[in-house]
Amino acid sequence: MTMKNTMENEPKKSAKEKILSAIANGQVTMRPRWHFVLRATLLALGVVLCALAVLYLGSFIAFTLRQTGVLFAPGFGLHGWFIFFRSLPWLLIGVAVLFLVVLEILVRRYAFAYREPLVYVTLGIVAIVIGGSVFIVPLQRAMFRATRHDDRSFSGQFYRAFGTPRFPDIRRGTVVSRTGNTFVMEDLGGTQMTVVIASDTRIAPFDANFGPGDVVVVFGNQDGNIVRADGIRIDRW
Amino acid sequence: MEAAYSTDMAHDEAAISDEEIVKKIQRGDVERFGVLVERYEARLQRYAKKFLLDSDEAEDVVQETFIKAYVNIRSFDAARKFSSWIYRIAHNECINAIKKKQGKITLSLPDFDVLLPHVVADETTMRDAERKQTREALDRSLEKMDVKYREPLVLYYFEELGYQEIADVLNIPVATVGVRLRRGREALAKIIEHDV
Repeated sequence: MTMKNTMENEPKKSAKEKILSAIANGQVTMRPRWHFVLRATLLALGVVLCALAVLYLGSFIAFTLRQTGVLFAPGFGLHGWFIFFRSLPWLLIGVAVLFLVVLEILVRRYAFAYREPLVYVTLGIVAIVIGGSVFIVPLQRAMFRATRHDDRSFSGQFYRAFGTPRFPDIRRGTVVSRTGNTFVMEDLGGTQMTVVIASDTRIAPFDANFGPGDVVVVFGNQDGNIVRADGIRIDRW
Repeated sequence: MEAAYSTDMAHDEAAISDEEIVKKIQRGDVERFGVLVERYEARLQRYAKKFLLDSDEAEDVVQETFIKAYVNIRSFDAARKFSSWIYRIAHNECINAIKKKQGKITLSLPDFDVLLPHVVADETTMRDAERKQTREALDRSLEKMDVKYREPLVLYYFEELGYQEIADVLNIPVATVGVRLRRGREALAKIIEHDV
């Protein structure tokens, strides 16, 4: 808008005269309605896509924490908390937070959002994401089962990278056999290991019984094929 | 397009609301835009001068405001208040002018008073004398006030906008408007005390 430059050599006009003259000369024209419809549509699309991205990532993070057993680590004391924070998928969390920030920025362009304190809007978005994620986690599990053997697809590689065992002190697997204070379990990759239950091993839920066919998450150090369990969590998922 | 309005037409237009006029402009009656310029030019000049503290810059900002309002007039929803909309454009132009003057790009993070909820303050019905007194004190002390508090005070005391309208102009929660006005009045009181 260069109205000021073109007007410099003309006799001084009032602001109203300048503006109306610019309109009459065609120097400024109204943007067509479709421009604003397109902008509103793109904004809405951006909000939907960001929301879906956050929902997907949130549910995937919840799924991967459960699938790898990291979710249960805090139940085993301070060391468990350390394992938990060390094992979180920080890259995924960072990307999810980025999408969340973009979503917040886009949503605040709507009057219903900027009229409320930022913390309400953020909590609202987070509540929707957490609630939505809970419903989507079973879908993530189905996706994992369907694609993890597919070496060619990106989704297969993606789900395998985050859903299969990858931490040295957390293992999730199915009990194959149990004898007294030891049992054999097999993880998703088909690797079998012998788990030793010591006197100080914490089992959750407390006093729960488990046997062949049950899925367990074992915390403890591994030496060869033997794991000395610091904690065992029975997963009825 | 010299808008020469007959006396009858002028009377008719005085009775029509801003929103009705905008509807006519959106339908193609672009000459009516002159009516909106007449109605808002002085007000926006006053607002911009008090916000920017620079008359020449204020004039440019007001012209840009009207230009942008015309260019984007089809985006205006006539169910909302036109005054809030055009003041919002003027606010953005003033902010751009300030940033241009400062010569740096700043990342604007949300203010703390926008983050958290506040108790919604009632809009106090000030007595005329009290309002006039505050306006005069504000006029003398504008350049010493933080922009963050100067603007809502100008919108409230000089432009006589309500809390909801100020919230729409500044894109902040209504409760935050009350907080900023209160803090602005406190800051003003300190400035006056210091000057005395």
